[in-house]
Amino acid sequence: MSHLDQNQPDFSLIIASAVHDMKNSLSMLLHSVDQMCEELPEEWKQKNNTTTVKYEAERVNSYLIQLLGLYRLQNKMLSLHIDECFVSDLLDEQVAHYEPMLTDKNISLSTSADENLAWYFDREIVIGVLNNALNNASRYTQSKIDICAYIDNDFLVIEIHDDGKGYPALLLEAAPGEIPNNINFQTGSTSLGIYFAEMVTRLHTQGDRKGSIKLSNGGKFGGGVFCIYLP
Amino acid sequence: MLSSFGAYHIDTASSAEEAMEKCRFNYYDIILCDFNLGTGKNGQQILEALKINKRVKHIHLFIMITAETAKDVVLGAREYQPDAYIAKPIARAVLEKRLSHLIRQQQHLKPINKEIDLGNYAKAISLCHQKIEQKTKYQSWCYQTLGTLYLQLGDAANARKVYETILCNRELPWALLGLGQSMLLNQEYASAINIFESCLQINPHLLEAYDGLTECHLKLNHLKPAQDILMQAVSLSPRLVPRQEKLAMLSQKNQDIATAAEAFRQAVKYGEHSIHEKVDNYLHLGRCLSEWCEGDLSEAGQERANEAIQILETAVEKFPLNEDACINASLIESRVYSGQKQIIQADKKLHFAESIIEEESLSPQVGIEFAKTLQSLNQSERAEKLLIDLAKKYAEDADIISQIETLLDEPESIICRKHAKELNKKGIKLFEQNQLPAAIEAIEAALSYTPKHAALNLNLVQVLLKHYETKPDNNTLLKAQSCLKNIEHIPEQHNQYKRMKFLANTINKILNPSTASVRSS
Repeated sequence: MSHLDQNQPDFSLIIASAVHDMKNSLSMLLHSVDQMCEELPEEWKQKNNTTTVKYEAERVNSYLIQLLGLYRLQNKMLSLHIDECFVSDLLDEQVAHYEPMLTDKNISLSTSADENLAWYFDREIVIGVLNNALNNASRYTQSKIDICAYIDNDFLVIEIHDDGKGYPALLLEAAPGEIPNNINFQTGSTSLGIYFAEMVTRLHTQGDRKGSIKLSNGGKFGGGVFCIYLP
Repeated sequence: MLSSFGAYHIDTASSAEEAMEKCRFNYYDIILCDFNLGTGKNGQQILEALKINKRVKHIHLFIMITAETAKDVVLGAREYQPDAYIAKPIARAVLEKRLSHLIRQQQHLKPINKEIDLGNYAKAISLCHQKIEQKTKYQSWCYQTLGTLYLQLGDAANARKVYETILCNRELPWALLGLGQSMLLNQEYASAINIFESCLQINPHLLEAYDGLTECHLKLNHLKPAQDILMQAVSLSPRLVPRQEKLAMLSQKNQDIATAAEAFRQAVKYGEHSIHEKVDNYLHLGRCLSEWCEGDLSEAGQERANEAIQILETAVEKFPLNEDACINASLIESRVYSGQKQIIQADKKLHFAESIIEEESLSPQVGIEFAKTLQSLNQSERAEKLLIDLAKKYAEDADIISQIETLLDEPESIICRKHAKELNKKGIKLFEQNQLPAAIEAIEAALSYTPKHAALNLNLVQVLLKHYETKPDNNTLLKAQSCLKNIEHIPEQHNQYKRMKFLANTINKILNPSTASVRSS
């Protein structure tokens, strides 16, 4: 066990403020890339280099958001803003976001949710969780991703199915909250996103029921299934 | 991008000032606004000004887009309820979709919002009911709007029905909040407090619940709990100036000078560039600090004195055209210097103020400030005369009269007043327990802090008279008479005047039974 040296600055605070700065400059970067892409000649736009730049930058951004979120969570500074949200609108927005990149990779993306389906949650946080799940799915899937949302037993359920190889056994077996123990620098998989998702969905409560996530294999396409439950 | 939605008139503004200017002359269907706008107003202050001046109505969309994630910024920006709060960075495609969804909703609800903007609440209510029956996806919005409309019409019963309908299905914070507000409106304060507290258990960031709780405690005259709640709200969301002002005033009433000073400090800080920027907050802060550091020559005292001078100088710089405020600032400065025993500086500031003051057209606010400063510079007689003249002139104005009374009663600092108040309370308790000598001692101790306090002197007279009944001693009566002499200056409008006359008469009757009986026959 290491003990805290009073003279040592709190490292997590340093990281958090660095992350905050990085997020801001990344935001500027993304904005400039967007603007530059607008000005590119048509034939350049057809090539998929620009989407890679954009989406890799956004992947970094979503990591940073998660890091900051976890830091705030640990320091009890994370505040939820629970509002009524229209689920199909939200999925629509994510499709608009990912479709160009997925088309480039020849991956199809479909969604199904009732047009009137409304639920109460923190919009930005759930978008963060979805982003992460979609980023993940788009890396491991073969050819298709499907998102579906429905109400089951008074929970909002959002499922993301892919036709990849599925999640490794280690992740499937991990108890909730234990995921960071599986950080593996060799494979480059930190599972940070899954940990983040687990932690923030749990903040959504209704009476004594809590939100959660579940990973499984099989599903519609025989690949991985990422499942969000919100009470 | 916006033109792809069919917008035919798109303006952009590169600064807050330009944005405000444009909004003065145009109504916009949609306003997209960042929080961080460089110099001048921030996004929250823009929304605040536009909402208060009714330049953004219910039919319009105000969308806040920001990279800021700090809690105070997020909570502050949400206080004026933008139609959407979008975190940056946001990909263009996503923003496009998001906007189209918001616009679709706005279009759909336009008939209702239009009636609300026209003030036709009854019509808006019936449209809400119709919409609810159609079972669209906006049902929840309709219920929420319906509740708010009933509350605004003062119809607590119907508002409550709406919220209870919602709460049957799901414990939603907004419905719970509304239920609390309907109870508050119906003067069921205890139940309302319970409800607001359970709101905060679900969501400790629900600022309206803090506001509701404060209101309940104020109605019940629980000033200390009200202050505590406001302090919690303010520490969560410090950027809302009216709440800071409210806290400052309330803690002054509670004689909590540190909290009052801090709240005025924040009101000044966050008031900058906002629609709530006003010279009064600068002056109040100056007054608070001046009282706080009076006679305190320690380092902390000096620091407060310096801060007071600085804030008052800033006030004069910022509001040079407000003559009364400038005079008041000099008068307060004079008191600060006097409190720090810098008499030459104090006199200089007083003379400066006197050179501008025209006594015959003196406004009551300046007059009271002037009298306070004279009192602190040991010119009590001049101060008393000034106050009594003012009291005659403004005999009709209850607020001014009560301020004058306080000054005549207690020219001393808030700290002395606090001591006096506590000792007086103790004295009354002892009196009730019939421990008369101890009661006399306590009230005399109180009077050592505020010797001219009318009610306090009369309290002592009453205790002395009671003591005289059991132990007749002329010295006791003489003491009572000297108390009456302390307060013989109080004008007829003073709330203790009748009581003073009555007690004076009682003593006279005991001392001169013959004359008294002749008079009464």
